[in-house]
Amino acid sequence: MNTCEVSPLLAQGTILSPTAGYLMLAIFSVLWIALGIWWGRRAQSYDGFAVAGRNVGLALATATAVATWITSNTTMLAPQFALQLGIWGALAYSTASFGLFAFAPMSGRIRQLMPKGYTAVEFVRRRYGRIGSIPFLLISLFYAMTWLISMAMAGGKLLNVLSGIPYEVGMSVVVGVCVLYTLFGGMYAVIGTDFIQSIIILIGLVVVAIAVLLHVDIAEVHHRLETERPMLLSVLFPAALMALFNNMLFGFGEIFHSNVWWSRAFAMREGVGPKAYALGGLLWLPVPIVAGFLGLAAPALGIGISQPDTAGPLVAATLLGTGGALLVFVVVFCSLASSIDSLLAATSDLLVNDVVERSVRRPLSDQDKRKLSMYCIIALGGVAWAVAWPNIGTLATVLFFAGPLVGSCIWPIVGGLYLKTPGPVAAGSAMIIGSALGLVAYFAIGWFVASLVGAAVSGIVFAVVTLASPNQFDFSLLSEPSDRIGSLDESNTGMS
Amino acid sequence: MRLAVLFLVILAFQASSVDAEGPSAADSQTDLQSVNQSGVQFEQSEFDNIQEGYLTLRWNDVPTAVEYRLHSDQIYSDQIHSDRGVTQYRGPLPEAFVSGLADGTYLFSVDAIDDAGQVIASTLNPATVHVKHWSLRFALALAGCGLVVFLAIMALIAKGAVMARGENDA
Repeated sequence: MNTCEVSPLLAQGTILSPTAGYLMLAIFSVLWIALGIWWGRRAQSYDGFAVAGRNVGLALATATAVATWITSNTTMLAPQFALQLGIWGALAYSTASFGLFAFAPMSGRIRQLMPKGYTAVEFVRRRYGRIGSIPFLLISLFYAMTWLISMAMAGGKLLNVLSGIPYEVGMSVVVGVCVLYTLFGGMYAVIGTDFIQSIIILIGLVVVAIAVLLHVDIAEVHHRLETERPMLLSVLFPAALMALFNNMLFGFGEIFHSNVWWSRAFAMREGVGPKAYALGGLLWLPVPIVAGFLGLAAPALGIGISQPDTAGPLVAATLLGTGGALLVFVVVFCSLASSIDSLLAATSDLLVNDVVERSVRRPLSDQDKRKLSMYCIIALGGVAWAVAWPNIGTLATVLFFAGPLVGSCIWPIVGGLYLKTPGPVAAGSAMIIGSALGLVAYFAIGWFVASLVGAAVSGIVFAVVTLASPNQFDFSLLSEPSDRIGSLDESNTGMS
Repeated sequence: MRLAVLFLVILAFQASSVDAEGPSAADSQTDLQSVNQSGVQFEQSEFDNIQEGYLTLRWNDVPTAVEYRLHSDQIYSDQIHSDRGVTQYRGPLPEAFVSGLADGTYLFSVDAIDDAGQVIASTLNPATVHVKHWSLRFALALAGCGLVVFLAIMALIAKGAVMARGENDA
């Protein structure tokens, strides 16, 4: 019988005790809810609740962009990317910052064209009519729900890995807390908490990065990878090469189409959006590279990884001990909360303005909208909680399924914002055909090409149909008051 | 007669003392043997076409194990390259994520370790993994396509932003 030494990392199970985990969870839950109520006092009108009075300055705007984009996906999927696809994987993840850079000028254009706008779907409906807005609404809702569910799952998994809190308990608390403070404070609470969360996240990540670099011998990491997992260092790693632009285009699609980013563009003071998104991109760019390094370091450190999406927090917390685990716990909780609250607020706007108000066929009062928003936030939280409960699939499989769908929205959004000639048929067919072929690629090849195929096919269809039947859209129609939307929709569909 | 009774009592005591510790030791020996005989078994032991170089291997839980070690050997021309060459995973869960594998055929085996550091069970049948990455030409073509799409989007945004600025100035 062979005998050997048991790894000390393994004997200790979780890194924090469940008691410490519950204590941290309680402290931060109370803090976020209290801050939500505090900031929410200003959300008296629906404009205040939905778009924070359209007066958000540069500091808060930059912070909310950074905090929202540093999601649990950044802290969990970036290390997973690196562990799956090596150096290219970490770089591929960091290209998602290009989406923020590209959206910077677009946010200024959005604010200028729709000074009283609320949602991205509202833009597509006014710009392309029903032919464009129906597929876009379905894609937006599907993406918002998959993102929300993946965040809820991430919350449960991370708290379980770090402190042994049962998945169901951790997931329920994270979702419940975010629902509560978003409910009280709307966009004011979201942006206010995002500011504090972004500061905590950035300080935490800098400390983790420095501490990990002090603990890890980079030459040893390189040597172990070279001998044991050579493809992770290979420049010619086929799947990683395919994933590079796929991830970039996925990021473009996510930001360009999602109401999370549009609602912020509407909430920012005029002229602030372009600077805030560009600064946010700059601050975000190094985060996935740091997080990705944790994934690459895992094999060299002898840390066994069972589920790749838990590699980053596990490595950081294992290396840095109890203090590090507490830090990771706080960073992760902040990054989760900052994304879940944004999604709840932005998706409830979308449901109220683009589903409920459209279905009753009359403009709703501010009070009605405010009340409906609260119901929608509770319903969204409930659905996400119910779907996340069984804990099926990894984060990547949940989220990347939406990749081809959002990738196919890039061209209709960019083209619709800047060009007069694209019409409803070009937009609708680009989204439908791009999504369909992207999904075919997802199943036939893999998640790492789905967004790329969706965006490429959608671009070709959009260009061909626009050239074949050009329209002449009048951009001034986008700034019409919302009570004329009904008539605008009908005239817009057949516009030429 | 007394001697005979005494002898029988001593014999009975020895027998009972053997019974007192014997059965549990024998049982645990039997348990270990049964674990070893059944061994550790992979949920799936044949992976034919891994094109991304990564996969998750799962095996049955061994009740007294506190750690599992997953080893890999690469096969070159029907010869095993090394004896338990690379330890791909050390962890408490009966599941390992393995990545970064180059083209080739790999044999994976697992040892279950108890808290004394002893191997209490091993895989009888290794998992065989055949890795054949996507064609580089195909990958580069898709990456090139991605680059074109990216540049086209950026060009449209830049042109649009300049045009919008011109309209505003006018």
